[in-house]
Amino acid sequence: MAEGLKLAAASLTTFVALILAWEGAILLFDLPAYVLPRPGAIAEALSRGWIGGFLWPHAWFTLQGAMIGFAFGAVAGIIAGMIVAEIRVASLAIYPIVIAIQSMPTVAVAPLIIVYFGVGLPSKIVTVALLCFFPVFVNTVAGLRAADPRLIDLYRAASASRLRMFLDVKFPGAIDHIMSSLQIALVLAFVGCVVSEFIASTAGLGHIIKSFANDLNVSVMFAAILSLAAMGAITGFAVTLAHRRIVFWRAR
Amino acid sequence: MQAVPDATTPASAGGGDAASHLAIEGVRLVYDTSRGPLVALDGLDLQVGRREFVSVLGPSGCGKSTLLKLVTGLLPPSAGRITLAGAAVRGPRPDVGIVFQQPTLLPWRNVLNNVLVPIRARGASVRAHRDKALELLKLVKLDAFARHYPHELSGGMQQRVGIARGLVHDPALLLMDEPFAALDAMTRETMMDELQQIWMSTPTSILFITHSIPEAVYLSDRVAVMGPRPGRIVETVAVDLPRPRGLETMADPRFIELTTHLRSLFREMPEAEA
Amino acid sequence: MSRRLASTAGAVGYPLAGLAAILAVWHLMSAGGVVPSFLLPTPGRVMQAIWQAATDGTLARHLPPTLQATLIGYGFGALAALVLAALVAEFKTAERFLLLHLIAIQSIPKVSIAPLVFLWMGFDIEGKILLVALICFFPVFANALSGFRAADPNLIDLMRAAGASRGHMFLQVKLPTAASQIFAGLEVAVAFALIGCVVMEFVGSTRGMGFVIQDTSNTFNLPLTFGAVIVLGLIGVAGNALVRLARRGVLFWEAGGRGQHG
Repeated sequence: MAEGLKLAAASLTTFVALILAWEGAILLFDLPAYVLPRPGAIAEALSRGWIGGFLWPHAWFTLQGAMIGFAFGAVAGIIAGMIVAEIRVASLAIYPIVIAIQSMPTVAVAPLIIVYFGVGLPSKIVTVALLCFFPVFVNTVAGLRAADPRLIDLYRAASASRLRMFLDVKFPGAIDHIMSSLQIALVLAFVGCVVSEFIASTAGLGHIIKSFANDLNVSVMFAAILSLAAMGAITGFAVTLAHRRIVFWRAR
Repeated sequence: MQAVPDATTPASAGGGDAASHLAIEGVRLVYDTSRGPLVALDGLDLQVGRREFVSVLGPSGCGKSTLLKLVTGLLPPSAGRITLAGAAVRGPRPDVGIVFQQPTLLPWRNVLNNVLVPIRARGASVRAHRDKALELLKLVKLDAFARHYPHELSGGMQQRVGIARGLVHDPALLLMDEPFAALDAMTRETMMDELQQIWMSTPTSILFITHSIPEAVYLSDRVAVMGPRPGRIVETVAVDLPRPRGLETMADPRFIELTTHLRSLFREMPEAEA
Repeated sequence: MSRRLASTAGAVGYPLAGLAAILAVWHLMSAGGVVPSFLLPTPGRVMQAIWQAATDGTLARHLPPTLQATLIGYGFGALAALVLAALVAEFKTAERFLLLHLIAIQSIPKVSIAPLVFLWMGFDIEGKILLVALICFFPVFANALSGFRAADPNLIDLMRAAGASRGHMFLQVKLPTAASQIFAGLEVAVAFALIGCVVMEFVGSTRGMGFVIQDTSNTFNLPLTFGAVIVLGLIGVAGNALVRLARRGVLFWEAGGRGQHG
């Protein structure tokens, strides 16, 4: 309790200091609003955006692109991971390639996907799905491979079918890995959607950030960035909650 | 090698009947490794009678765990033969129960369903075996925990679930691979007693792998001593202590005589490489 | 011996076969007209485009800015992350003042501030370095912090009882304990760094591989788009390999882990 109080006090101090430094910098260096708006202006932009409502359609667009793409990418990653983990040749031939792709900047294909799917929502969904696919795939394979060999022996000694072994032992054991990868994929979902919106879009928070940069309206940019952060934090919290619920046996 | 009188004779001194239920004859096992072939077992002979409790005692790395894979039919021997319950072991044997060193339970299934795992794995009717599973849980004193999950139990309790799981399909043989090695000393002694009780109240033959000499002597009808690589049985010692054994058994001069003899056998063994 | 050779050959052979299969399917889809070849150029056309870019000065013009910004930003980001993680792990006060804010900032998708950085710093290298450093910071910071905290408490007690200084303990116990996790963070940060750089180049730039990708896709010069994506990917793979090489050199006690995978 005392520690919680100290943490709150210290964090608040940092927060206040940051705001003061911010205001101070504006006063001291006479920074114009198109370089650094005052904190109050950002709060105002946020309230205009969310209470006035002009950010709603854009937040909805980004949320759609990120969530639908996330769902497609995750499901595809899990299914492909299962196939590769269960088929020896596939796991030898494909898995190392996917591991290599993990160290590549996959967002680089975003402009290409816009060429294929246009500037609307579909290109966002495809970009996001592609980005989300890889971590989920890799973790599904790793999770399925991490199954306890003694449990596998137990099932093999009972002449259990591969399907039974998969459903009883391997898949439930991989869920922990898969849920962790969903956390990573979720971050990438917003990254993918926003980058695709930067390149070309008709709506979305990324689109807002980019187009208001052209208007030098920095407070709205801040408002959009903070909105993105909030969306990421809330959905991330939901995934963490789901992770704890589903993988109830893991002490944390 | 000094002989202990009346100790090195075959099975008859123990509780099981003489006809061997599990027979391992001249088994050799060679592993292919990146450093060339490795002879894990060579000329291994071992018998377990019906309802007999036999321990295999050996230093670490002598191939005890390989034995487990051979008897369950998960690994074919390079030479020799294994028969269990009158039929040669040629492939997975569902009629063997296994208890591992770690409880190795499914963390996402409750205790009752964990006990039923061998039934599910065989694709048999889980419902038909529920009563049997509950009965076994009563035997291992966990009937109040049937709906609990493994992470809610202590290590000793988890291991008892493992034992109940090993027995649920009425196996011809229960294989126990150092089942108490991961438990603390106190729990271990309680578990030894409980295992004896379980064994005496079920018609099970047990092959018990361990590296604890007192544990082997306390529990077994016969103790088979395994030598280091390539593993084989160097001596079999019949334990003629009366049953049920209890606290006083460990103070019995015969108990001390047997454990001392076994200890001297290990002193003479060359160190096995890990 | 021959088995070992065979297994090494398999470890290389299977992925090569997989790669060949992917290229073959790609080629057939493009050449066979499943996808119009102006949308999906054949692998051969892409290789040709890469070769041409390498010989006509396109790569010479656009690759160095990307590499430079990525490397410098990566260095700054990783260094800042290590220092801050050490501070937060060592000093309770630093943790109280900083940790919550760092966690809050972590929830901002870093690439989303690219236009802001562009506005502040223009399309020179400084902006790219800033975004790259920022995006690299978090994976390294998170890994280093949990690594520093994972130090064996018994070992710490032992050192403390022996009168070891804080600095000595940090260098002798905590840093080596954390090293493995730090390297894991550094590996992740390689791809992150390239992402940061490329996104900055997407947002506003006239040079760099990100610019090439966006420019060629706008002008439908897709063979070079594919080529640039592949070159970037190879840089990521190479960077990752370098980090792993460094890891093997530094963490000599991990050498036993070799050949465990698969």
